[in-house]
Formats: sequence, C-alpha cells, structure tokens
Amino acid sequence: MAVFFLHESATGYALFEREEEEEIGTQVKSP
Amino acid sequence: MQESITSRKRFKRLVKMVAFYPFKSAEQALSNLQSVSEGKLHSDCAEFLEMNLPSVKKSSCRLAVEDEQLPTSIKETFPKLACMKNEVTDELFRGIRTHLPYFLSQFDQKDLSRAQLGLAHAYSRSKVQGDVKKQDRHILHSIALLDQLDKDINTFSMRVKEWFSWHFPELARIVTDNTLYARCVKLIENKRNITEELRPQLMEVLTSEEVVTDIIEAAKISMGQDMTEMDSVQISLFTDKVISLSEFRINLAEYLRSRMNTVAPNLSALIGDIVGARLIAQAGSLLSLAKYPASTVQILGAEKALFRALKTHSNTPKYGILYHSTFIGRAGMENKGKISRYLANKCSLASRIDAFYPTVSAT
Repeated sequence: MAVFFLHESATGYALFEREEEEEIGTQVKSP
Repeated sequence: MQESITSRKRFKRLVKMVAFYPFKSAEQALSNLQSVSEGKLHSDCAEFLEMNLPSVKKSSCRLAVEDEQLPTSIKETFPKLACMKNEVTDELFRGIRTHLPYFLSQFDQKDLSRAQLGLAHAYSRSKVQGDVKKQDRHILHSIALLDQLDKDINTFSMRVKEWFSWHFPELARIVTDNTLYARCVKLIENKRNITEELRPQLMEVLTSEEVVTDIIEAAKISMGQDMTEMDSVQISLFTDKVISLSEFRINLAEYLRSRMNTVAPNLSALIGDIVGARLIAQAGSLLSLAKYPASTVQILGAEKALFRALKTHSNTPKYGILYHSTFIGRAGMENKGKISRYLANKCSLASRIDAFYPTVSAT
C-alpha cells in the first residue's frame, strides 16, 4: 500500500510518496 | 534511517515529490496556516489532496500527516482515506522539512525564508488581534484610570474651591458638589457679575431656584476680597480643565460599562461593572480570574489582611473587593461573611462562563 506524506509549509502544500516497498511503522523484530 | 534522512542524496532516493501546491497570496497562506493550527482541513488542502491522490476516495493508499488533530478532519472529508502518524513518519517529515528547498528548486532559498518570516509575523499578528479575550486589557486600564481620575478631580476641585473662596467664600457652602461648583465658578467668573440677569444661566447649571437665590443674596454681602480680571481668567481656565475631566470621567464610566458587557457580561450582570472590573484588574486578566478558586475570589483585594491573619493566627478576612458589592451592603452584619462566600462562588462561575464559553452572552 502506497504511503503519501502531506507537508504544510509557508509556501504551499507538498505531497511526497515513499518509494521504498517496506511497510512504514513496522518494527524489525530481533531473531 | 537517521543517516538516510541527513544525507540529501539518500533522502532523495527515499521519497519522491509527487505534487506541490504553491499559495498564491500571503492571505491565502495565512488562512491555510490558521486552519492547520486549529486542526481543520482547509478547502485548498482538500482540493489539493483530491487532485493529486487519485485513490483518495478508495482505501488503496495511506496518508502520513504531521499534525495530530488533522486526521480527524481529514476523516470527515475523505472517510476512506487512512491517516497515519508515528515515530517513523515524524522522522521522514523531519527530512522533508530539512530538504524541502532542494525539492522546490523553482523557488529561491531567500524567497522561501522570506515567506516563512512574513507568514510567521502575519500569524502572530492575527493571533493577537483576533483574540477577543485579550480585550480585557482595556478594562484593566480603564478601571485604573477611573480611580486616578476620581483622585485627580477631587484634588483639582479642592484647589478651585480654595482659590475662588478667597474671592467668594460663601459659594462653597451653598454649592457642595465639586463639578457643579466648578461650573458655577466658570459662569460667575467674578462675584460682581452675580445679578438678576445671571439667574437664568445659573438656573440652567444648578436647576434649583432656592440655591440660585441664595447665591445672589450671598454675593451682595460677600466677605471675599476683590479679584482682578487676570486672576479670574486663570481660575476660569483651570475650571475648564476640571469640567472637561469630569465629563471625560462620565464617558469613561460609560465605556467601561459597554466593555464589560462585551467581555464579561455574566460577571457584570452579577456584581456590577465596576466591582467586576476591579476583580479582573486584581486578578490580572479575565482568564486568571476564571482560573482562581472561589475562595481566592472571595478575599481578592484583601491580601494584606489575609497574610497578616495567617502570620498572627487570627481570623482571616471575609471579603476583599467583593465588599463593595450591593449584596454585601444589604446583608445583615452576621450574614456578611456567608453572603460573601456565596457571592464569590457565583462570581467564579460567571467568570468561567465569560472566559471559556464559546459565544459569550449574558445567561
């Protein structure tokens, strides 16, 4: 699932897309 | 992760800029910033999302946001769009903030910082100007000025009385009101002018036939010394100041009443605008007054007596500024303390309604 980032700045709104495939926010578990 | 964010090259590989919506004017930037700070989704932002997130109405993508309150309002507009915010997205936003100028290569770095500064100034200005609750500053100053004016008018009136009494001592005993006395002096100027011809004008000022007759009679047998024209001109100029100060005091009291009705309508309806204004002034602001417990409101203005009582282990005071309320004045001696406690509770309630209720009106 694609993740977009909405950033509000003094000049305007910017939308970024995360290119890496790994899921954001998941933590790597120790073996 | 940390390294990929600090390094611009690696960060560029991490995220890709999809779209940018530049603000067209400073006003637009300000209104958008105000929406963000209130946690609301601005129509510009909603339009931008709808245009650039093709699947905004489906549940095929997730949106990371910086603001904690924003997801709630985004959910209202786009129910299917899932929002997220966690430590990792915060880190990535940190990177976006750091490297934003490089993504926006069409803008000059100087222009970007100038826009930031301008927006910060405009935002602070709008915060200060738009805050209705800050209007209580005017109350603070007007009540302080009202007290000062009372003192000054009294001092000046005494001076006028003393000065003019050398010339016409009997007038001070006939006209006791300070402002009326000043008006009479302004009209008479010299006791030689007090004749039957002056009666209608004196009547206009004093509105009492008896008093005017007394003045005319007293002028005939007055003990005072004579006065030159130069002296009477000086006294006349001075009375002008006293009269205008008295008029200003009346206007200021009226202004205070209207201000209290706007800022603290419930408090002023309960204990009157002067006592209410004194409470606000003593607390520093309406907000501070609203935060005080009722027991503090009860003895507000009697701090000296309170701390003396605490030091000497004697009885603490029953009332401070609240003593001037008509409720306390009307109560019997044995009930004054109880009424003060009850009144303080009600004042506390009223000030909280005035300070925190979204639309303030007398309830």
